[in-house]
Amino acid sequence: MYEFKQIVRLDFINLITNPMWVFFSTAFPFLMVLILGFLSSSDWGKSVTAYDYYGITMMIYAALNTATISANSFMEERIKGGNLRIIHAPVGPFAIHFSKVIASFAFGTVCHLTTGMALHFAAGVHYGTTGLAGALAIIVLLEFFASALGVLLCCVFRSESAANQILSLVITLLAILGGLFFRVDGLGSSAERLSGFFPVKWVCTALFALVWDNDPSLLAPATAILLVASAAFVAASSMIFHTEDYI
Amino acid sequence: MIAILKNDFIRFAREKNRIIMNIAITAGMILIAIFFASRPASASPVAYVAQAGSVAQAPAALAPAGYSVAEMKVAPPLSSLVSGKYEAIVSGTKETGYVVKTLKNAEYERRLFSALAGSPEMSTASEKRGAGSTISGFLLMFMMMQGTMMLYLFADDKELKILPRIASTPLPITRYLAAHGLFAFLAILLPNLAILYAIKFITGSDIGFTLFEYVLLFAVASALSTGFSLFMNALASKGDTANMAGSAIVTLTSVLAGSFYSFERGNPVLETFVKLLPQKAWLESASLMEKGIPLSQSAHHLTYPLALSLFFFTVAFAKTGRDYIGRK
Repeated sequence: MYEFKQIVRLDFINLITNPMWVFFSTAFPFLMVLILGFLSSSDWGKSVTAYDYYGITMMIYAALNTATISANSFMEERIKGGNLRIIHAPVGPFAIHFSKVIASFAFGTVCHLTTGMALHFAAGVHYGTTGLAGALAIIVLLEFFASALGVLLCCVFRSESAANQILSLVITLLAILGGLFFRVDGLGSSAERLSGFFPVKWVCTALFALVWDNDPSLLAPATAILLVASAAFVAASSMIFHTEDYI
Repeated sequence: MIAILKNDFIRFAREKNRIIMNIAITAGMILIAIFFASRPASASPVAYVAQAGSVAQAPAALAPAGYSVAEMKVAPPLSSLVSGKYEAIVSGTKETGYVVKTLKNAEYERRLFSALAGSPEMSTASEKRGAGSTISGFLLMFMMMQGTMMLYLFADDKELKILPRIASTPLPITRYLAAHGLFAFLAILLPNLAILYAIKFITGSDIGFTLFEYVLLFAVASALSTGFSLFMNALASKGDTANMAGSAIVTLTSVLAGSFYSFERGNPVLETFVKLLPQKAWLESASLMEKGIPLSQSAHHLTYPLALSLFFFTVAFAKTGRDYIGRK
């Protein structure tokens, strides 16, 4: 356990000392909310503003982007050598890949919750009253889900750049279909039905219900699905990751 | 230069996982684009809550004014307005009159009330997109994002310190970059066209434009995408930085330019800004083609994206040359 903690600590330091990742996880979602919110503010009335909408959807987008962070934390060219050298140390393969999930999960959660707080004070984004705890739980689990996904793709491709490029396409695709950039529901019932097939939409619906209706009925299924999917990703990483491939 | 191009194809062919994933994502994106194209967009319905003693003629009043109405017994939750499932909730009894709840702007609320009062104002007809411009709008953003993906060989050369060695050979850096650029251009253009036509052939769906128009539009998009990602990769020292910053910029600008959905209505700051985006000119050209305007009058919008991609190429040449060979 001591070894595992040491690896996680180093992975976390690697992430937090890279200005690019810190920018990508804090300033980028912050600016996205301000820009998109400002641009579409004329479409919205006074009670719920465009900032309220994008404050939530961009939080989901940012949480999904933690997948690229964890892919980088694992196999970025600069640190890949060091990360994989410990396969010769007596720590076991699980600690090598799972530590990256934990580190990027912690990094993403800290960065995005800070951003959310900043948005709440800067743009008055409403994150719910009694539903706040549930909404936070979903966001935090989504961070974990994304971290596990990023590491899994790294194990599949054995290269961070392939994993990253595919992730950025898939995340954008999911973001569009889930209505994170604009409201898909406004595009008609068939678009709504199509986007209903994609999990991002469910997360979005669950969050809106928690924040605006204080309605926790979707909280349990959302957390269950995210937990099961994350566990499946971690298990799959364990199955695919063989230390002998990297010697 | 031919050698670099051939070498790019060999290096690319080695990575089977990447190719399969790429084809799968492209096919998925095109299928979704065709799905959206085959079902024209319509506005979300207005929810009408029918209670005992409610003002009953709301559906009758709203339908001719162009609103679609969903009748229900219980008012939907506030979150369904936030997510855009319903545009407004209309309820009310004979005593209270109509009660409208909407998150849209005051203008929308005023129109809805006047429609309820029986004097509908025709809303400004929102531009309906046909199959061609819907599909090309979806694929524009996708192709723009594929740029950094297909230039990974250049990024690899830089990161693995192969580029300094190439710079010391007699091969001019412009030709080296042109070869990578040409590879990326072909690797974006050909699969997208081929998969689009394969899907058209299999499902028999209507894709709007003719082959020639698609080749023209896709070629310009691929050139712009290649130029932009060469530019990003030349500026950034690492492929990751270029990829992340590039896809962030592409996502934001494409959404703003109206790749999927037009944002700009009535915001002067935004309109000026959006006009500067190359994607906007490209989409403009696509929508003119859709209206059946001959190419001689619609294709000139494509010169701006092309000129911009030439500019990106030039900067990338200059920057890389200076980084690896020094000032002339």
